[in-house]
Amino acid sequence: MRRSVVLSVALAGFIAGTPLSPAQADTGSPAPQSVMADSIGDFQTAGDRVHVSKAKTPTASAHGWWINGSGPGIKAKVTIWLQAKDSKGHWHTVAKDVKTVKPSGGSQGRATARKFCVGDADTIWRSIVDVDVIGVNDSPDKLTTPATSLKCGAGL
Amino acid sequence: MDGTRPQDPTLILGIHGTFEQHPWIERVSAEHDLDEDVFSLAVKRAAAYGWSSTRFGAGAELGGQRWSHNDAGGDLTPDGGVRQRAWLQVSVAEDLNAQHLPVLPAVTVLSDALHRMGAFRFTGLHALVPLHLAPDSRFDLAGDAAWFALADPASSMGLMVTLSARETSGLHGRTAEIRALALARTFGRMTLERVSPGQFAQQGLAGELQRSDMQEAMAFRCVAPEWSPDIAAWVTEVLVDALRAAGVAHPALLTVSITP
Repeated sequence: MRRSVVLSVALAGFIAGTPLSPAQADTGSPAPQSVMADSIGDFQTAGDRVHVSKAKTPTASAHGWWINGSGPGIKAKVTIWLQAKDSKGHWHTVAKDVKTVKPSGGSQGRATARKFCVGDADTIWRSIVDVDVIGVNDSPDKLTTPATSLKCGAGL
Repeated sequence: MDGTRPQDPTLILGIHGTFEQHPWIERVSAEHDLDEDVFSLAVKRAAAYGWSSTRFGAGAELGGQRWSHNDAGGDLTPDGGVRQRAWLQVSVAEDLNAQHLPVLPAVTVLSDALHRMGAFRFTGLHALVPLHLAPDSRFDLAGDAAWFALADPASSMGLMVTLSARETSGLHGRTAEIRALALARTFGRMTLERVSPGQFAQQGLAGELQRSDMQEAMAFRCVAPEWSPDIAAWVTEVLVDALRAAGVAHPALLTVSITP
């Protein structure tokens, strides 16, 4: 389904000198075949919600990886930032991971950011995932996972 | 501390048993450049059933998701012993009317993942369940009872069920009440005999069960029509609905395992 390539489509339009309107980009409408060239990334960013991991030491944790569609590119640099919100409502990055991986989501294919909980205060967490397919044009956009309240302090 | 809040939507579920990896897995993984594990297979399988997706982005979110994936893992040590072979942690969707807690879907995803990689013999299930999200499922449980009644009479199997909760859950000392509610929800397809917590070893379970600060509040020895991941999920749902009917809304840890 072509709607799964919203980010790539936006870039294709930009390369062709005809940027998509915000309305088009927001709706995720199927793209015209003419902009679906394989010279750009046709992929999606994947991740899970920030969660307190099952490990014995309570740890806020999040994973990020990528799924290739029909685009080129064998590996991507996946960067994940683990963020927590302070009492003033500002987000702070408390952990980060960068991994260059194949698009599998498998054991070697995930970037993981973790932070030991500092106490158990209710804290809002999220992660931001960026995928940069090596040698392939793709969108500079980053994806933000839903903010989640956890009983896991960030020490902010 | 386990990171959960009183109204936390987290469901953690693990399946236990013995596992022997297919002899061809490593060769095929090398040939196709694969590095699949329980995490990645659980994600893929949940997406294939349409129960959950880990894809984010404009227009990419899956509608009607039963859960948001948190984490998954497994222990595929080839030692022939009972281990917690696969586990899944999810945030249950809070906005889906009358949907059961996704116990059976989660068990199915994990069981599928293990069977994809090898020979898995199931011996037990543990589930940390967010009871506040459990809807009234009595009528569906009546259907389940009929489903499982279609079993080979020679397949009936003894199993152990335990229920753990925090002191603050208000559950302790209510064994007779919970047993009666659970029994009514089996529609005569399973027996539940009250036994003392800790009286019998749970040899079908292994590893970390997310008991945290919960205490085992009650235990039952049961006879069910068969033994399978499906029926363990059903027994779990019977207990979930019994607890819901009893007004318990705090998280509880339920285990179902084969009788030693």
